[in-house]
Amino acid sequence: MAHNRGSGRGGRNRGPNRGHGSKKQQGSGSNAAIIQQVLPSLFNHADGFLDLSNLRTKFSGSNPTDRTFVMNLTRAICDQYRNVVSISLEGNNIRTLEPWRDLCQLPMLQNISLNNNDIRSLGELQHLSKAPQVTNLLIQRNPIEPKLSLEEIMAYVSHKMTSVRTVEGQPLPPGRLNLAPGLVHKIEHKSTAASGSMNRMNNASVTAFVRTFLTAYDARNSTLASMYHEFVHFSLSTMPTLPAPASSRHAMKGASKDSHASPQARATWQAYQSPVVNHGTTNAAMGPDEALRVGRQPVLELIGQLPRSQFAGESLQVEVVLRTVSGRGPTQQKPNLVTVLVEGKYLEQPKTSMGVTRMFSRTLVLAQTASSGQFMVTNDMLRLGEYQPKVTRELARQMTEAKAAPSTANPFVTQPQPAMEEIVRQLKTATGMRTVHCRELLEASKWDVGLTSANLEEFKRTQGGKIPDHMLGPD
Amino acid sequence: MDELNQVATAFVKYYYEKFDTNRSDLLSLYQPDAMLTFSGDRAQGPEAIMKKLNSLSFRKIAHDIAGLNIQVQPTFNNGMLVVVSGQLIADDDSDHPLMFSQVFTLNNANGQWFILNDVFNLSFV
Repeated sequence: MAHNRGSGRGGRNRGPNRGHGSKKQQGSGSNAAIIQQVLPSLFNHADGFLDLSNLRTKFSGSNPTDRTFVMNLTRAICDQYRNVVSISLEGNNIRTLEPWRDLCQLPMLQNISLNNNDIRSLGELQHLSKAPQVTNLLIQRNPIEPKLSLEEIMAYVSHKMTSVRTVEGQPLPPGRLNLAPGLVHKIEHKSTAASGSMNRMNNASVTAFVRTFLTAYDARNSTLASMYHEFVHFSLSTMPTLPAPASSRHAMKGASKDSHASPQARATWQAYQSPVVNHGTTNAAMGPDEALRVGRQPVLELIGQLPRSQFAGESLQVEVVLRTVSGRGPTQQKPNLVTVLVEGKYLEQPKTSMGVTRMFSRTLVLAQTASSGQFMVTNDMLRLGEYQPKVTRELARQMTEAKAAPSTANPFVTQPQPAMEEIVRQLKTATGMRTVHCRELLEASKWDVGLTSANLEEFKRTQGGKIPDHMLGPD
Repeated sequence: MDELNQVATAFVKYYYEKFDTNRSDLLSLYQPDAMLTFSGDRAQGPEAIMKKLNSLSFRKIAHDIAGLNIQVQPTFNNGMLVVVSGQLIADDDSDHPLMFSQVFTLNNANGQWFILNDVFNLSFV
């Protein structure tokens, strides 16, 4: 089979940009130009084999699970390599085939290898179901759950990718394969019940608990009380704002523990400025913007005094840090612990005229009781930030990669910094305002994002609660 | 709680000092079953973790150690949850300090603290 040949064939590895040596392209794997440069060296005209294995080494600095990169890559392939017969996608940490589905457009594609990836569900093959000619499929060494026999895999594949004739090199039996409906359900809908095996703490069940917890937190109801452990630790603090890109040195010096939350954040804190740890001991290390409580009752008391909030919104990013295990295996005395990072926007005092959007970051430690499999919150660290345009992790990564890329700008012309341009774009997406007004707003506050937000809120108040229509627009 | 704060603060400062000046010293701080998530990329085990930390796209990193915001809570398994946020300067680009947040879960063995989980993200909160 073509895709077993690996890198043995000459010619394929002699492309101009093979990433050895000092010329590493930093993080510009999603750059279409790099794709154009590297792709020809991956394609063997003689047998139509496109070697997309171990992409990380072929496009240095790229991330083959990055959706943008993959979409750019598949687009280039569909445009220029329509006679591809075999593709190897081995060794790319692929978990989902969704971004690769444009490969289905290749009319002559017959052989696909998905060996050595991170595919957890055979259901991912549905993304390739439109490939008209694929006859040979390899999908070994993937952590597919639940464990399936080769017969079960063949049955499923034969129904979803009807052109396939061999799986794992084995020919499918002739005639129509029997596919039990229960099997389809098993493959495509992974169970989220956390009963029984404590060691298989499931991302989905943890995420579901976290959403329920945040909803209960917003409602300040009795469900919340039952979700906090009796000896829970809860702490709360506000964070200083993102320093403006232009002003440099004072930002670094000023970023100490007592560096200041904006007036807006301070006003929220008037209500509960007593950073007293329960049991009578004061924690001198805490500043005025922090609070800590220990024990379910004191925690609920503090929470009751906080302004109403809406954490459980659509923008939640929940990251489950798997397997914070305590000692060797779960016992009654030592519950399984899992750490969860939650980030997103929350609304403070929703449904009022004072309502304001802020960023938050919340770190939770959950303990799972052995008997019932129920979760409880043992640690809750909540940090509140200022309103920001939607700057996501992805953007942060791109910003750092943009900075790391060598600059080719003309030294006689001042280029706007990529970070600032992106902030303008994010503000535009968040508000719908025309680019010129976004820029004006940011320049008026010297690119202080927190101040920009406050100014915008103030402006909206003077305009009857919203941005005037003539300031909105696509440009 | 004060003592916990002190221990955590000392640990975190040591961690960043080593990170900035002699990163391979960090190897001994990670438990054998430690896990790192660095801006979404995962690594398990001290060797894999060091490989990841030694292959970042920035050549030089300087954390603002004096300006760190460190929060600590004890956890049920007699460990610590430490949440750090602060600024760092990458490749001496002091005009554009980056904010980061890092979460550690630490465990104690024989009087020494080790890292079980390490989650790093550039952040804006």
